[in-house]
Amino acid sequence: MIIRGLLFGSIVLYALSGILGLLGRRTRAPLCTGFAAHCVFLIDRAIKGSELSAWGLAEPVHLLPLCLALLVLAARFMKNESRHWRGTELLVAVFLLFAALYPQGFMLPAPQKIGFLPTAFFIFESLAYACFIMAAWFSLSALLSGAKNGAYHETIVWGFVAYSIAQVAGAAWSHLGWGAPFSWSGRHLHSLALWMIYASFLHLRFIKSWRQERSRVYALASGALVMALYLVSYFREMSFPRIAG
Amino acid sequence: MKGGRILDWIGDLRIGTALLFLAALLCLVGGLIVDADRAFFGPLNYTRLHEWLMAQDSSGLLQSWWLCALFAVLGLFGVNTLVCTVQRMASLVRLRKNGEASGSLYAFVPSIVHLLVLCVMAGHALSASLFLRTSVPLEAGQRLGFEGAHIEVLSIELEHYPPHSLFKGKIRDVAARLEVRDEKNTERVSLSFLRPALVGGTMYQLVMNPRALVKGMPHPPTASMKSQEQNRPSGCAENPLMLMAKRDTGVIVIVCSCALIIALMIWYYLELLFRRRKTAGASEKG
Repeated sequence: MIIRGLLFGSIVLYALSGILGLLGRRTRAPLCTGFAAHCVFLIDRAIKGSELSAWGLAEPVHLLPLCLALLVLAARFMKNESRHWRGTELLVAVFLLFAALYPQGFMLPAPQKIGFLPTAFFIFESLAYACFIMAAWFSLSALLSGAKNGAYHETIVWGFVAYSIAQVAGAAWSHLGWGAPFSWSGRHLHSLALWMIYASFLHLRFIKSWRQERSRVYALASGALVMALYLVSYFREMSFPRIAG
Repeated sequence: MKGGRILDWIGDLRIGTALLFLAALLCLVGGLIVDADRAFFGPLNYTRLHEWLMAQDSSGLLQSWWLCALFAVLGLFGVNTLVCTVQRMASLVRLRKNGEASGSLYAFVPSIVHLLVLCVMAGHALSASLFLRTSVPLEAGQRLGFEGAHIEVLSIELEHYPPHSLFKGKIRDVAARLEVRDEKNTERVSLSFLRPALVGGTMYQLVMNPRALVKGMPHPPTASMKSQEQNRPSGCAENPLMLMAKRDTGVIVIVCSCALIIALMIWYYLELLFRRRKTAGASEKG
């Protein structure tokens, strides 16, 4: 009960931090307190799961808000207080709320889903998703305010690198666990589609006739697609059998 | 002159980007179609691609329209990328010969990455069309013949989660010992989940597919296997653990290319970041 309270407390603190940020106030105190409460919840989950891996520490549904929070914290502590980072804590709050309302039990851990490769895959995929969603936020704020900033492009570049690492780890994992580096399934095809969408995004800036405003719309639409695929994937997994929860 | 123009058109970046976007859309649609009809597309994962395509009648081909379109688009994208990359590298070599700074080795990295992406595509094509694979239920004393080798499962040890664990009683890992005999050698190897054994170019690994079992799908299906498939569909439901033997020439191309791509990509973007910061610092001082 206390742990659930900490989780919802961290959501409130992230939301408060986001609102304060939008109002132009200092946000470090609520952000750091919220992050600490969030970490206590995840550590408790890791101990319950008895495996200090992605499986026990956090299912991907819990990893994404953690990665988003880490990006926001990194920006704050690198003194990156520029305007486009303001309010990004709200994104953390929204995704953490989704994780809090999601079934809290653990999915049955199949033997081929535990180890270095699945852990690396989930961590890098969640990190990439966090970058893509953050980039969509930046492009949305740039579109709404009309301000010029290239932050979304740089965020997508690092998201793309993380996503590529995730895909390589995923291919190696699939090869060792299922016997083929690629499987004809919705999960693999959608991952490939996302990689191609962001690969084409990175090439757009080399086309002379391509305008910056279009890139912002593209980044926003791609971020929306990432969120849609993420939500559909986890809504589907809601029906899977779980232990303790 | 005319040939040069045609090459410029074929290697046009706008066309390449459009093809990549189109391929992404086809993958998105294809993912939805595959998930909606797993019974039809499921065997694609255990059958060589060209054999699966050739086994389809007209309605089957119509159902897999997105797959045919995807291969066509990826083929065109491959040609576009190859031409574009070769043209870029040729111009960089010219710059390097003239001693210009933009012709440095660092500038070649994106071109090398693009060539490696083509290698990954070729590796996947090889893997999907040339793999050899067979599997049997994992039981002590089980025998399997694969590509001239005789394999026998000597022992199996199941490791379960401890009683204090949330997952108590569930299988945590499996350790199997095999004897692999061919005309020249006899070798004994150990393997467990995600830790396969490689003997004479053949990889032996443990697989398990609980989801397939829930849905009553045999894993893998008996159809379209090159070697005699010894897995009984009914036996599969009793024993979800399988021993798989496979030969996949494409995987080594994919793994090596991917490792190089990741290393080059990280180095390139970090270098770019440092160069930009250096330029920004210099302009601030100025």
